[in-house]
Amino acid sequence: MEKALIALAAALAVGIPAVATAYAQAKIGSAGAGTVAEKPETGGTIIILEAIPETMVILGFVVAIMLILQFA
Amino acid sequence: MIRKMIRLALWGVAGRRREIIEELHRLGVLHLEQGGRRSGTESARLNMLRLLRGKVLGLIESLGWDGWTSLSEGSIDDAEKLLSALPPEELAPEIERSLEEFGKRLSGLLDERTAAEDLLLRAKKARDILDRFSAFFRRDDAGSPGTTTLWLIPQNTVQQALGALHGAFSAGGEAWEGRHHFVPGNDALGVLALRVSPELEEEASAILSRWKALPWHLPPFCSGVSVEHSLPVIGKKMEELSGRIETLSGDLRRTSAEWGPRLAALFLFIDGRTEQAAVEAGLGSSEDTFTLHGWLPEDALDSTVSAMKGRFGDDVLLQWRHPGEKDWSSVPTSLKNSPLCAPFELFLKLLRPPSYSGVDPTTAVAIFFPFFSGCMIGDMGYGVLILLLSLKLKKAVRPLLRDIGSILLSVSLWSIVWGAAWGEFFGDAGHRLFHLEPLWLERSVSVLPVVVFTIALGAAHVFFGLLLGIYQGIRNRHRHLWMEKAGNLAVLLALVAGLTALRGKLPGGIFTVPLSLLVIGLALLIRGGGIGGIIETLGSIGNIISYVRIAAIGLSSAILALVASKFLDVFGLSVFGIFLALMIHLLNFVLAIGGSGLHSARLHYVEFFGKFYSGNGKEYTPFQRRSGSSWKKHS
Repeated sequence: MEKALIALAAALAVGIPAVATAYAQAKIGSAGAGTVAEKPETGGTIIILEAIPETMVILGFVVAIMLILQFA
Repeated sequence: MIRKMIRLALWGVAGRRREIIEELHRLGVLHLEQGGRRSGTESARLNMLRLLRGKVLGLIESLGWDGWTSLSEGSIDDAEKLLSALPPEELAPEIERSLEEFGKRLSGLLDERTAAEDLLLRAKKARDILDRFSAFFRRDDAGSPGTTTLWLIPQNTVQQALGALHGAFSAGGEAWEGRHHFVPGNDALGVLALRVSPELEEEASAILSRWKALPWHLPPFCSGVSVEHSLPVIGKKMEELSGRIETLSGDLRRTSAEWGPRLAALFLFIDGRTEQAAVEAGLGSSEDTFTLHGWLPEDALDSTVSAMKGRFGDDVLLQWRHPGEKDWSSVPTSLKNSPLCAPFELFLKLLRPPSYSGVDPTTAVAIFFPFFSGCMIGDMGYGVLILLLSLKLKKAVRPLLRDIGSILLSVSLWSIVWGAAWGEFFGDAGHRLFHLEPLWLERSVSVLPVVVFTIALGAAHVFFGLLLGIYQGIRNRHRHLWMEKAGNLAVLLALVAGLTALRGKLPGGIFTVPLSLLVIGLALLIRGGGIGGIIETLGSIGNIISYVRIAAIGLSSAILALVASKFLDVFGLSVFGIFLALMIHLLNFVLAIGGSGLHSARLHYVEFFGKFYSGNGKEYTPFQRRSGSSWKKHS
């Protein structure tokens, strides 16, 4: 039971930031698509901007790893 | 590295102004600082050249030619030699005459093809409509009297219209002998076929018109043919039109292949002349002399001076000097790196160039980018595939693809090195087939050491960025900048040293060192950046943790490769099992290239460049002939 709770906590640590990242990327993506349509040369910058929110998942991943290694 | 620039001032004899500007354009090294004065006649010449340039571009677009990247320098030089031989006053009218003649021939071909395509479209529509009434027409062929007409009629009025026809023609107790068939269309309209005896035709038309029906006509090439017998005529005409369109398209393709490169060479020639005329029009000049200022790289100074003096002798006077600190903001930035690092300048093209007094991070990117990407991919098998892909790309015609090929080559080599460290060759296939063992550790099992390693890597990368920031601040005498960066670095070092001491890796007696560093760092931070500086430090901690993505993406890549092998375990060495394993590897390979490149780039742009890169420089755009597809950006 305890292990299941730890696994759930680790999953939530990655899952919730993943949802937040997806939301942020959806917003950036739609704005970025408009920008690229207007100015194709901004494509590279938009790709980078699109990758920025992923930091949240990375931090979630660190927390999940720590949870598993500390308690499981 | 950023090339040293020289400010060049040129005084020339007004009579040789055009020649001098042409020579500077040919040399192609001077970044001009132009004035804005233009006389009426000079503007007229400039406008005429721009008009000609637009006409040539219009013809190239009409031809549908887009072979700019394959345009040889030789063909451009030939065009230049040929056209330069014409007297300047005859050049523009001669080009315009030739363009008009060619334009007429081209538009004749294009118009004919457009007309044929329109007619073919109309014939297809007519055939589609008539096809739906073929059964109705076949009954008429049996010999019933009358003529058939087709009507476009709103679907909601067709019943009333037919009712009106029955009412009008069934008078006297006799049923109407006419026939009709209605086919609804996709929109509110439908097509009604009506067959009535010739004497009733006029009245039927009047009734249908009252119900908003419009007569439908056969295409013009069917004149004299009845609706019932028009289908074979239309079919024959469609074949004829398709053949004609094919012939015309072939002619246009041949014309495009033959004339496209010539027109492109002409375009580049006129473009060069337009640029020269624009410079000429903006020069500061008196009746006898004119002046011109600009920047050129120091390594191009000697060749430029000797070329100008050799051709114009005492008709030009050249003076030059190194830029002072006050000039730094106006000096354009030109980058020059070794052939190994130069392809990585591509990463800076997404940003504004660094300022002249700034730091060129290309070498650092060339070292760290492939290292990070390779660490994420970390598979010898994928590394070999990327190596093959990079060798193919390095042979490409487009410089951009060649640069990408060079970058991928470095990435592939590091992927192979990291693959050996992690012991991966298409996942665990290397271990299964060749008993391959990791030189360091197996990253899919030992996660924590890899996470710690990537954080250490991130700390080193961010510290390096901060050191570059300190160097830039001291060099530009921005006290606040270097103090903030130094404070940031000291606080981060204090945290690292403190954590190490707390973990017992350092003797407890030296705990005063991180404490002192922290105090000094905070003092520098507050002096340099105020409260914002402290927030910046918190951001830097986040930046360092962000490097965990190298471990995270690497882990997901390794596990996906393991999944591919699992398919073989489950399905055995069957066609289906091998197919699924290959598909997973293909997906993993694409994700590995895309994900590793994107995230490595992001680590550079956000985490690394954020520590020192200002990007407020001016791009070095020498006055020279444009080539390739660069015109697209500027025309």
